[in-house]
Amino acid sequence: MSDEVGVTVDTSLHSRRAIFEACYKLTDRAFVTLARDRENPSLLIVGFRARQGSLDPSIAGVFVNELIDQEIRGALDREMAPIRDLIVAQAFAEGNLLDSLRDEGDYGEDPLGIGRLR
Amino acid sequence: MASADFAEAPAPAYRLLPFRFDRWNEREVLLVNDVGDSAFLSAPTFDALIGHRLPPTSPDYLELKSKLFLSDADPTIAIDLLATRYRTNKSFLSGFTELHLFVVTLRCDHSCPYCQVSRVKEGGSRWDMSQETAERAIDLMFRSLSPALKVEIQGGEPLLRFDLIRFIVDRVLERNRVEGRQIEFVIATNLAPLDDKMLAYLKERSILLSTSLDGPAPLHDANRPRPGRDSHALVEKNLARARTALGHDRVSALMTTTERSLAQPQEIVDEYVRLGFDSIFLRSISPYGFAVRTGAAARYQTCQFLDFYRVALDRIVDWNRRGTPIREVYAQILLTKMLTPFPTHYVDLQSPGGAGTGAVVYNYEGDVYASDEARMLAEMGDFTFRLGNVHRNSYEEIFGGETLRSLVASSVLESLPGCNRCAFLPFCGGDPIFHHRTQGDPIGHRPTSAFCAKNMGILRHLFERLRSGDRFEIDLLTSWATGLSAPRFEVEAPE
Amino acid sequence: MSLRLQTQGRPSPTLRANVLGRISLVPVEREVRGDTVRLVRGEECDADLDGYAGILTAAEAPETTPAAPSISRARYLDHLSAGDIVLLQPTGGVRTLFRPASPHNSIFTTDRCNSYCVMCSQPPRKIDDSERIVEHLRLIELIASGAPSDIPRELGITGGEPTLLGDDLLRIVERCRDLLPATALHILSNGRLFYYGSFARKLGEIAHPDLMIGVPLYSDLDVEHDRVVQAPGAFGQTLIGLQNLGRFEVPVEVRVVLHRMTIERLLPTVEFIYRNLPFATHIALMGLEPIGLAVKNLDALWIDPRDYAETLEAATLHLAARGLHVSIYNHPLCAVPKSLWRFCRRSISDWKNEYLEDCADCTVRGRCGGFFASAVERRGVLRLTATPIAL
Repeated sequence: MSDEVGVTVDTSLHSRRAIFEACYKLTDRAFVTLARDRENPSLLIVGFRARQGSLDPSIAGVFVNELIDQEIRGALDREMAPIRDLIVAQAFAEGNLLDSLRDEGDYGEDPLGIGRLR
Repeated sequence: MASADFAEAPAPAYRLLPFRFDRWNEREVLLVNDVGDSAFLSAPTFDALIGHRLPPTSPDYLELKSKLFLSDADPTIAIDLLATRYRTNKSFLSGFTELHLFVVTLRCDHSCPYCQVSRVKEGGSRWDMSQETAERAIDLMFRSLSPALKVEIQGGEPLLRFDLIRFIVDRVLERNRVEGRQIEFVIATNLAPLDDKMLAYLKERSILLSTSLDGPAPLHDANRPRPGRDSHALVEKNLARARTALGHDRVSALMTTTERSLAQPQEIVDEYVRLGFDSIFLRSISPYGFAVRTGAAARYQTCQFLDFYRVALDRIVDWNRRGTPIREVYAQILLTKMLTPFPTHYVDLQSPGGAGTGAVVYNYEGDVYASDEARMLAEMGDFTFRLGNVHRNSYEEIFGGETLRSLVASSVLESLPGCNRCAFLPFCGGDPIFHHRTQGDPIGHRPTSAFCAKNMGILRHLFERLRSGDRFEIDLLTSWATGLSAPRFEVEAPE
Repeated sequence: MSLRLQTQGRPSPTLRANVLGRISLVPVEREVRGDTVRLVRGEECDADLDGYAGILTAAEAPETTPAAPSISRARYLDHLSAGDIVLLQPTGGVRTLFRPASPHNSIFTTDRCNSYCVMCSQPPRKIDDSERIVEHLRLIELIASGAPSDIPRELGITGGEPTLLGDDLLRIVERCRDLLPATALHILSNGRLFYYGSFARKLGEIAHPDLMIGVPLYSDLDVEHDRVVQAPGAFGQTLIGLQNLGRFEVPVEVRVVLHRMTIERLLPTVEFIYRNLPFATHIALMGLEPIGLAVKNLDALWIDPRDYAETLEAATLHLAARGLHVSIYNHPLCAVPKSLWRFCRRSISDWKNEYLEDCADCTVRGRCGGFFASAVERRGVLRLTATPIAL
């Protein structure tokens, strides 16, 4: 059991948000420090120090896996954002944002041809 | 690792619909969409899903499509369905303030260490609500647009000012002749001062009673001391009287967990069964009022509470197996969110939060608070969550003021760090007042939040039970969520 | 029993358009003759036959001045009772449109349909029958002006696809609201045209006191549902239609017909219905009627209910446990587990309802819905059996 564990993160491969989310999640069991590598500024050194007692060294593994997962979450959020926004907007809209024909379409004229005989 | 190159995946044949995920264990991933539908996938299947490589004929694909996690045709249909579901989930907002708590007095004959109400010893009406204050509070209550209003009268011990209770109830009913709302009355009482005259009035006005029962006598009396050390005996005696006068189901009970309680989950459940209750609400201790002063709240860890909770829930399921129906209320609320499309009205598990919006507290001197807890903070000198005063502020100032607005803003989970990407978001709440108290700001720090740990622990546990429980247990938990008895156990009705 | 609803005879030259009227076996006063079809039996001889809407006889055409619209030399007349409402056609056809003795009366609004379900029991025809609205409204009038004890408790609106009538459907519902306020109205529709919200809104605005729309949904997946109804896009349109009906507070029933194409995903389907259409007041799980298009596709569709007993039980109890009202239609009691008997209804219309010989020995025959006449007809091919129950 050590007192401090450091993990090097390449900021050209990982987003700032994912790094912070992963660090945030581990602040229950460690104090987390962030510092840039002096020789290679694109590298970030994430330091973990035990809050109480000694630090479980597996925290490094937990951190890197969490980092990947947070990247995935970030990518998913970006991918889903337009639909997510549309769902919330539609949920509280007065009219229909998805297809105005649902509100304004004339069922007699049937512009979508729903009543077309089979 | 496969996930790393999902950015270069081939053009998607399907669109992902909004969801969040949790690494359930090494092998599996839990997905929960924005309206609370859930699915478990193996880790490789999850990778394929997000890499847009999941084959459209696989059973997992079809399940995800059915449950609105992905769409491969015109997505507007799925969006429309999700929007309707989302609106239903948030429909608790439309009535705005439904629950109105009136603190008619701070006087009380008990001295419970965890008391969420700062009690003062009996004597003197300076700790009581005046009729004028009550009148104004009632005015404010009827400004709410909710078609259903629940009036909860509490204290201290509210029965010590029964005349005030009569005043409030009669005034509300009189006003309601014009307003035409659905009104429900509840009195939160320790039952000790109950007498026949009170019971007659309660019966006449169809008023419900809610009392505290912490467990068997030794535990209950230790938790809830009063002169004579006979709180439990009084509860048992007056419970029987109240049930006889009002009806068996007109008295409910809540329990509060203390360090002492943690060692007795089964005994507590058994006591509820013995006293004929069909529901029990396993609550954790709150860090307010005298609780902090006596250090009770500081003394136990959430994981100890979770152990306690699991054992108690086992005991509850066991009683049901043996034919005695009893359900756990917190589980019921969470299961309703997990298994049904319907919203719940428990203020601490809502986003935006229900404190001050869904429920509000009118204190004896007219101050208006977002919750019991907010009122307790004021007793300790912290007025952060005082929304105003019935004598000095208008409805708009109280319910539209900056205090309430920022409180609500700090309880929208979709915008909180640690919550906005959490798979359990649709089932959870923020409780900003709790976080202000325990961590110093309303948003709080999720990784060390006892509220978060408790909810995640219980949710994980409930998911486990639903996955690995037998038919009986699954049907039982489902019946709690749907509010119906499991049909397998119904006797076939002759036609 | 299976009942005759149609017969044929020789039309008089004065029968130039469809005529509706209420059957009377005796002469009636002049004031009501315009609503009446006088069924002349045997050697009856009325003083005069003036003013009737029509005359019906098995004998030769009666001599009247002026020549009344009539159908003579009718092949069958025994199936007709006083109070029945019939349609006399210039082709010589006599169709029974309404029978007070039956609990299952429907207004057949049109032969047209915009779907083409693989098991359709009433295969659609592409004909323009939109002028028949006059007859439908007249039928409602006649039903409403019958003897008070003949006013039906329930009336169906069927087809084809009733929503293809557009505003005329609204007129039908309005007329029923006004003339038959105590009669429950049950419209069977694929729900697709309610995609247009204004249609659902106007239907809701009529505020019929006891209206229900029965809409089929065959799967939780669009491709499966569309495959059954043979209309691409139908699933989405039906769902939006259902949402619109829910929005405008028109009571909705969801129907699932059980056959090989729908049974496999029945459990996910009912869960889908529960999660997304919780406002549905009723769910009907229906046995297949081997008639119409179903006969062509029988091999691909027919499955003995005993073979899906477990699935049906799981799905039914799943819905019941969630507070939805569920009914099982068109299944005899011996074909389903006993746990489901309380959900089984006597749903098969009386005029096409039959039992097998073995049913005579069954102690629960009195509350069992029996079989479709068309199934009994094909009992060999379907390997239909009845297992008498001894309670």
